Amino acid sequence: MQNNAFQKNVINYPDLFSEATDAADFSEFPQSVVDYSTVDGVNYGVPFDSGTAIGAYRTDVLAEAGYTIDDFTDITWDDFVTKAKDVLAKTGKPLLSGQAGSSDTIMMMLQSAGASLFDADGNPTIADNKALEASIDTYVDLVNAGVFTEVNSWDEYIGTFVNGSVAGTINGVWISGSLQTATDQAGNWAVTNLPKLDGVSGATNFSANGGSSWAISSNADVDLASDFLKSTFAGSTELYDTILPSSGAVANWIPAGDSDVYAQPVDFFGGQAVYADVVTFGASVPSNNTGVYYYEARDAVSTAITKIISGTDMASALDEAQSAVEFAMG
Amino acid sequence: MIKKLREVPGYAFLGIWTVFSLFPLYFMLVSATNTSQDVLSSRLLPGGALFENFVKLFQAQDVLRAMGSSAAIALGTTVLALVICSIAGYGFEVYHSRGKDVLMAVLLLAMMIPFAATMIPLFQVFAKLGLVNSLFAVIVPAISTPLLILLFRQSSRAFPTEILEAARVDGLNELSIYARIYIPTMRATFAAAGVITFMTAWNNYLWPRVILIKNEVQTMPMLIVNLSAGYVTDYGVLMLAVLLASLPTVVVFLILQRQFANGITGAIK
Repeated sequence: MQNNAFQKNVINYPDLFSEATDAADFSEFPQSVVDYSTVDGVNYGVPFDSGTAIGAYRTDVLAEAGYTIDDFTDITWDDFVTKAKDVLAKTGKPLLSGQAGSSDTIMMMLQSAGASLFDADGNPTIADNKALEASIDTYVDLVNAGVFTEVNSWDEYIGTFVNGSVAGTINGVWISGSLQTATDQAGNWAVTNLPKLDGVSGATNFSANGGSSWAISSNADVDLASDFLKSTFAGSTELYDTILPSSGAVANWIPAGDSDVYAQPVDFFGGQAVYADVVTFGASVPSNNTGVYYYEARDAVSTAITKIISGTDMASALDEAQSAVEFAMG
Repeated sequence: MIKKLREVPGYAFLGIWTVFSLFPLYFMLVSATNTSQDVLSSRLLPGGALFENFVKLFQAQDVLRAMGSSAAIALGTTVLALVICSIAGYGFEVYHSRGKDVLMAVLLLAMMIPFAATMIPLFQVFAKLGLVNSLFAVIVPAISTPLLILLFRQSSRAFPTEILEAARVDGLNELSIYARIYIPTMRATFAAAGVITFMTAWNNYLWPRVILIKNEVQTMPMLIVNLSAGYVTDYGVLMLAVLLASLPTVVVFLILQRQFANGITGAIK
């Protein structure tokens, strides 16, 4: 089950879930990922598919502008905008792209600072949210500077980097499969962490987008299912070593990152051991409160962003988003 | 000459419109022969990856089986819907009963109910009957539609009552009149109704997705969605699957094209 929807489903349909408390040693997963499937302190899911965010860039394009991947590692968004403008001026290529009207990028920025659209009690915190305001400011800067190309659909987004018109992307690690569609760019990509927000307390260079966890249904043989999960997705490096090359599924289970397969250099990424790096990133991702109304809140924020980009004042757009979510919550 | 010149803007407009209508079909055809990367770069020339796409598609999915399921559903629905709705439409027009207009109004009102409202009860009914994962459960809800009944009723208005009376005088029973006189006369309407029903059944996605849970019984539209559900979408393979899924409806339409146009305009020859 999709991590972002996990709490919503457990809370709305409690009868369909079994506790997964015995299905894994949860300390072997990043806390932020375990939190997605935890409701009132009880674990309902075993994390599987990683949504850990990566910044992936074309090293040949960066080199043309006089940069290396290290210049984009452990930086802040202000640094990023400056460097990305320089890359755009020298090579004509923006570094980022995304779907207009999607809140994915903003949500990754927000989570990287350990902030959310809800507080711990589940109340929406869209208005007067410093981290959200900083995220939106950054996003608007990126778009206005021309270093973030907005497109209309997901397929177009994939197209922007596969056809080489955009020289990088920031997304969940699952995007690496689509990156590798561009066989003619093999060896010219590298992966690093995300820029962090400037002037926001708790800001980090790590975040997540998407990912999923296993749930045990209430009509299942819970002991058998728990045992299965414990000896596979929460306990077998061999399993992860098998499914990584065959399907591109990257683990959340931290010990998987120590295996030889994860440490293998990936030719497409210039010989970087991308997957071991990503498992390490995953351990540093701050948690995000999702809750029942997460998608309503995301949609409201998406609408607000579209308004802000077309000139509406940020405070009033976010106030409106806050009221929309409060209305949805009844 | 002047008359011909006057037609130029009209043809120019139709010409442009044709390009707009045909372009997506052209892109689908060309993309099926290109690699995923070429499709994403909007390559408009045919490529050499058709065979490779075929191999990948057939390795990833059981295409023949999905084609079989789709064909069984579409053909079953079409045959049953034509029989049931034509008898209903014929009955509504030919026989006289006090309540028939009220009944027709109820049927038309039923057209206004969105499918989303009936989907859950429908699922419960078929689940209780043990018909989840059965193609039968996809066919049955689609065999009687107000639209087809209305189409047949409207067309039956033009069915000459003299023939009906003559047939009765000659001693033909009601079923034989329907089978031996009505059906041949209404060929065009049957063709139009057949094309509409076949296309709707073939392209139907929501209800099959709900009631057909196992992958073994998936239909072509479900297969296409599955192709874009993993970590990476191969757009060349996807376009090939879309192309294969479009072929049957294209063939059915081309065969019945002439009758379809007549049927929609309500002509009887």
